[in-house]
Amino acid sequence: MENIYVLTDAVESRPTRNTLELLGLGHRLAQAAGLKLRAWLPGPARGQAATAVLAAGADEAVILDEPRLDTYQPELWLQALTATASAPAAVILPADSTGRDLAPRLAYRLQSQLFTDAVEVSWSDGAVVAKRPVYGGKAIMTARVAGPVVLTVRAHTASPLAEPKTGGEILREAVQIDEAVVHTRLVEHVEEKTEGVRLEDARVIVSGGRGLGGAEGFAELQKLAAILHAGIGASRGAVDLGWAPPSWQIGQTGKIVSPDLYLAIGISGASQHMAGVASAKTIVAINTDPEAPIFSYARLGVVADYKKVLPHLITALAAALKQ
Amino acid sequence: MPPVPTRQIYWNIAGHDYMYLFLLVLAAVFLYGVWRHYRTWQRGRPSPWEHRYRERWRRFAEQAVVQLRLVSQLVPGIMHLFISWGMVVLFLGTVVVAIQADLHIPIMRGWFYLYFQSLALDAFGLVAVAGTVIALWLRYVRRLERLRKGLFDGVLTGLLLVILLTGFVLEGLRIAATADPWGLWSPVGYALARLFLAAGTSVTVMRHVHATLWWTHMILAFVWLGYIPFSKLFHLLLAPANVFAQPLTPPAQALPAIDFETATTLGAAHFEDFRRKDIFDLDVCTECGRCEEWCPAWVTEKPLSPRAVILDLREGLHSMARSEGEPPLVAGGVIRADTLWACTTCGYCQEHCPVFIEHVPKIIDMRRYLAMEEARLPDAMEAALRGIEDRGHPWRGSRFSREDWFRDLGFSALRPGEKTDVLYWVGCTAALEERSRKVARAFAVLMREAGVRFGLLGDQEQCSGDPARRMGNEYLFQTLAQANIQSFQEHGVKTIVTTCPHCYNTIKNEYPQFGGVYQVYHHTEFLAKLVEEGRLPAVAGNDLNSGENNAPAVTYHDPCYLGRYNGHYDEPRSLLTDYLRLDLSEPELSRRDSFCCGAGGGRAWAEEDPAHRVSIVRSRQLMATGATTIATACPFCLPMLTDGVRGTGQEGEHVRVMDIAEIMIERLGWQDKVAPQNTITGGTEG
Amino acid sequence: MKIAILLKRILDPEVSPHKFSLEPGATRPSDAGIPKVISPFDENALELALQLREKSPGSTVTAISMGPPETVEILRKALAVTADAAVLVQIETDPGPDAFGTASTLAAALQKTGPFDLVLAGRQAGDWDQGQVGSLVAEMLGFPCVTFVTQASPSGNGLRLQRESENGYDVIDADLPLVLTVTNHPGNVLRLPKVRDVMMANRKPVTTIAASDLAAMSTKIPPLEILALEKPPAVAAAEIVGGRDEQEIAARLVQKLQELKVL
Ligand SMILES: Cc1cc2nc3c(=O)[nH]c(=O)nc-3n(C[C@H](O)[C@H](O)[C@H](O)COP(=O)(O)OP(=O)(O)OC[C@H]3O[C@@H](n4cnc5c(N)ncnc54)[C@H](O)[C@@H]3O)c2cc1C
Ligand code: SF4
Ligand code: SF4
Repeated sequence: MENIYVLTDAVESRPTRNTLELLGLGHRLAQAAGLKLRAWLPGPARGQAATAVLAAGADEAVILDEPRLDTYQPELWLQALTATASAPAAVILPADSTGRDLAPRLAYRLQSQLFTDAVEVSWSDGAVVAKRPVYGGKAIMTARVAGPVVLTVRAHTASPLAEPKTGGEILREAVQIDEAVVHTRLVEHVEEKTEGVRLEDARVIVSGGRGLGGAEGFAELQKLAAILHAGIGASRGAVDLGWAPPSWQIGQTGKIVSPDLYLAIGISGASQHMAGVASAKTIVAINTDPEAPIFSYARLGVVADYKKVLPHLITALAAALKQ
Repeated sequence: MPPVPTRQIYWNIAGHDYMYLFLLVLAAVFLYGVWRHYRTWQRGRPSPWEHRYRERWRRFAEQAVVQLRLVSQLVPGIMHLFISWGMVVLFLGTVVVAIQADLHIPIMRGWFYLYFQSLALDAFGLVAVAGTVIALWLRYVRRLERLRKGLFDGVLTGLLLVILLTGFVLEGLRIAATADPWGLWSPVGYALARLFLAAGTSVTVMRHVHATLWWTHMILAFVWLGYIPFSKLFHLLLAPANVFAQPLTPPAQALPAIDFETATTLGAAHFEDFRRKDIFDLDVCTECGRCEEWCPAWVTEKPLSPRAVILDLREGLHSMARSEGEPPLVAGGVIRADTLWACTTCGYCQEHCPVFIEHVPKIIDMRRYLAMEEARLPDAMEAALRGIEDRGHPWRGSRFSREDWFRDLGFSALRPGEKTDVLYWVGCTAALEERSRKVARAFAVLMREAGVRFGLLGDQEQCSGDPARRMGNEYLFQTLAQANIQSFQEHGVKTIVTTCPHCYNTIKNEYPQFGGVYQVYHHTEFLAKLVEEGRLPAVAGNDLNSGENNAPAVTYHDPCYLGRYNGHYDEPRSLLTDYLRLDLSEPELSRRDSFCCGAGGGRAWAEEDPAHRVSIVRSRQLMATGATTIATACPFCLPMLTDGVRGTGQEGEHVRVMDIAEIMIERLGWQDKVAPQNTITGGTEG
Repeated sequence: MKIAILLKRILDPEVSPHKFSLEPGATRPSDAGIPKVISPFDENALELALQLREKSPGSTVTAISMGPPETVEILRKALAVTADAAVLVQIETDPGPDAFGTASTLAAALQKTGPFDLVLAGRQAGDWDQGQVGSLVAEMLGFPCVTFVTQASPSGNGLRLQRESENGYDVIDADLPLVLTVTNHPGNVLRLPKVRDVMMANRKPVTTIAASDLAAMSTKIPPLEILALEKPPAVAAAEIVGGRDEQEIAARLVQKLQELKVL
């Protein structure tokens, strides 16, 4: 029988959020296709998460029992994955720096199809049907991929299983590793220290403009940002007035960002500013002026004084996110 | 009483022949000084020369004789007129003496002696004294900001005053000692003579003092004269020469094209790369500082003063005998790169330089070197250039295409090969910049209502090239100009109207360099024509319309490239007052004195420290008129001033910045005609 | 070091959304009136190639692009920033999303014009955004591959690299021959060409190879079967969230945000 594979990751024996999503997706695909879902756990350290991985949807947790796989080394990992993939119908990797690094090479080695950055994956008529944004999000491509396929799937696009699955089997595979294939060696890993969330990476950004009326307005914004784990941005209008540091400026002459959610508060929406958020997925604007251009870019708008809305918004969000 | 009025030359001066020795030394020193300069002028490349001598003499009469530009600042202007004319006449007096004494032609007699050599000379001497006194007053009492530098200048003026005064004393002594019967014809000398006599000075004493003073006077005068070619005094000769030699087609308006096939250096790396006239300019500068006074860069504390550019280049020129082996000017510490990038090319400096020095072409020449030979520009400007190169426009990140602004109005772009007589050249900014797009809509609707048939290029339009040219990338400019000229040809274009003064200037004055000659109008010019032809309805009301509480309704900001560059000061104003019947209040700096909005010369794309922003300074000036509407006629000024007005804080909240075309729409009540005509694209015309 | 840099000519990724149009049933967008540019990450890769050449004297940089004849324009741009040679692998239309096909043709072209010690590519092309070709070329050539590289310098017999990772960067030593895919960084913004070099670039030769003349490595892997290419649901003017008072507005806004799954 063919298998669906998911590459998992775990921190201190707990699968990562992303892994849970991929296992949930893999489980649904396997169910629909009548296939088995096997999870790869590279290295004995990750192996400790095997039970949790089974609960998250895998039928078999395959521990690649080789200590040298505990740290990521693409050449060794590729070797191990290629060797242990047996009759793969689909291989699901996260669309992060590991999955994107591995996917094309793994697909080539498995002589399978390749579909990267999927935002929606389903099984239909014996084949995977997947969607992904192309042209910087200006279009969505839907493709049918018959035969074995390696997929990378974007975070936050699939949901983990609602209920833990019971049963399943833990397998330990001793993988043969040949160090001769290693041509790239990790010398050092450097963490970049940033206070709060880096704007470039932030999934959520709250941003303030001249409409905030003063530095106090940004203090309010900080509270909102803390709840949303958001980065804080600003328009040049606000930066010019010294309410926000220049490194917060977003736009043509500031930072270009691509969050999922961009909350623009007291920003009019000048094209120079909007240039910086062209690829934001959802823009929400709070502005007193119903004619402000920002409303023609925003998905959702609130026409109101932010001072009156923000406290309620903070409370409502805090409540919603607790759930 | 001798029958014929005259006087004895060299009265009381024994051994006056020694003077010729001094004269010889003076001449030698003077010629040496001139030669030194002449040599440096030769380092430049040949300058083009248009003959048109009538025009040259006309300008000479206006600017060297009547000195109109100087007089535009009244007191300093009068000061200069007094000194210069005083000195010219006194010099002529000396020539007359020489003719009589050395050529032995007896002209110093009769009525000529009385009216000219005595009366006129005294009068002009007095005028010159008054001039120097005003000069010293301006410098040390009024402490004119622009005259704060130049320590030595005061000494030269003081010395001149001493020479003039000793001249009068000498005259007085002579009249008193010789009991000159014609003395009354020299009123100042005569008054002094009466004074000496009244004081009971003996003839012997007077003779003694006269002799000593004569030599002192002569030596001081010779020293002063000899110093001319070694100091800014050289402008006595060079300034009139420069007035005469000024290029008749202003090179800032139509920058000289580079021939890329033959050019050895692109732009000016060394003095040898400048034109001779540019090098000559350096020596003409009088350090008066008029150029600097309202230079937007200088006023907002950028590292640029047009005077310093000229003086730094001059210093470099004279300290660097040869350029071979020397680093380029911008790398060798003569001029800083950020100085060059700070210029908005607004042209204030050149418009106000009394000796017709042209700053902008020199700045651009050095920018050309940076942009093309070194590919070194400030990041934001570099990004704009890349945008022009890759996408045909500098507005990176615009969410619009060039065809978005007009689609719902029912216009369409010309099809390939389709002909049009009148082309509306929209320009990148009016097509793609949020705020300025409304101007394009307003103007297009006005033309349609006036029954003008016009074509639009839409996506076939590319940047006119003005920003590229002014940022120094002549190569990119020429590529664009040629491409655009080709589209004009394809569509049989004869007349071009544009809402952008920068495009207007480039297409009108610079495209002819590449064979593109068209009838080019700026939209205010074109609208004024339509109004005059009665093609737009009259605006109701007879009285001038004021704003709230009788404040002026509107003030007008002259865009540099419309006003100073092309002289269109009146059409926009006549639209506002005569046609729209609005009460117009002029800002203190207007017309040729207008202060830049800060966007020209590629500065629209440059980073600018908010504490020192040109647009805010200009907005404050405009708001000082009390008007609540600021009218302008340029798609760069519009967003710049909108930003500037907001940057002034609270006061700016009730002030709107609008293009004249938009004000026309409003006064005609045609708002619905320019409002978004349908909502298929989701109200993006916000 | 012989360096090859793979460049792709793409539809301007910054084109206004109004201008970006998809015909029903089409598997690629219409390109009428839209400029074409070098894919932005390829520009970063090109800059890195030039920097490496400066750091190891005697190296050469060859720019290779696959596309229709007009693709020469972007090769000229590479020559203008002083790439030493340019190769056009000619096909009829701009390459689509068939990454295996593209990679095998490019790999064959690299073998024909090489051998190269180092091949650089952008991390993904700004049109199809797939992020596949660089790594696939590495596999086909049998070279090791490092992805998301921001900086590189010669070190020993190989290169020392910086690779962007989720929360910082890795320093990696890699042997040659090697393939790198490059991501953007303040240190690898493509330089502005000097005008003299732009003029020279117009006179430099561009080698053209017909893709059909290349013995492309055959892959059994078929191209993707594209079922649809559509615009995402249009975000029309903002939906204004209203309510009796601010509290209700806030509650409704949160509800909407949850529906949109952006929290
Ligand atoms: C060459 C150039 C480059 C530029 N580059 C950039 C850039 O990179 N980034 C950038 O951001 N800008 C840039 N700008 C400036 C840009 O044009 C705008 O001026 C700026 O973005 C405006 O900032 P703002 O929206 O905060 O201010 P405003 O335009 O003044 O808008 C303030 C908004 O707040 C609203 N408001 C007021 N009070 C309240 C309240 N109590 N509650 C809610 N809303 C309220 C108002 O209705 C208004 O819409 C650039 C401009 C130029 C000319
Ligand atoms: S052109 Fe304008 S900005 Fe430039 S130096 Fe002259 S006055 Fe200053
Ligand atoms: S350049 Fe002209 S205006 Fe400026 S200081 Fe010299 S003479 Fe005066």
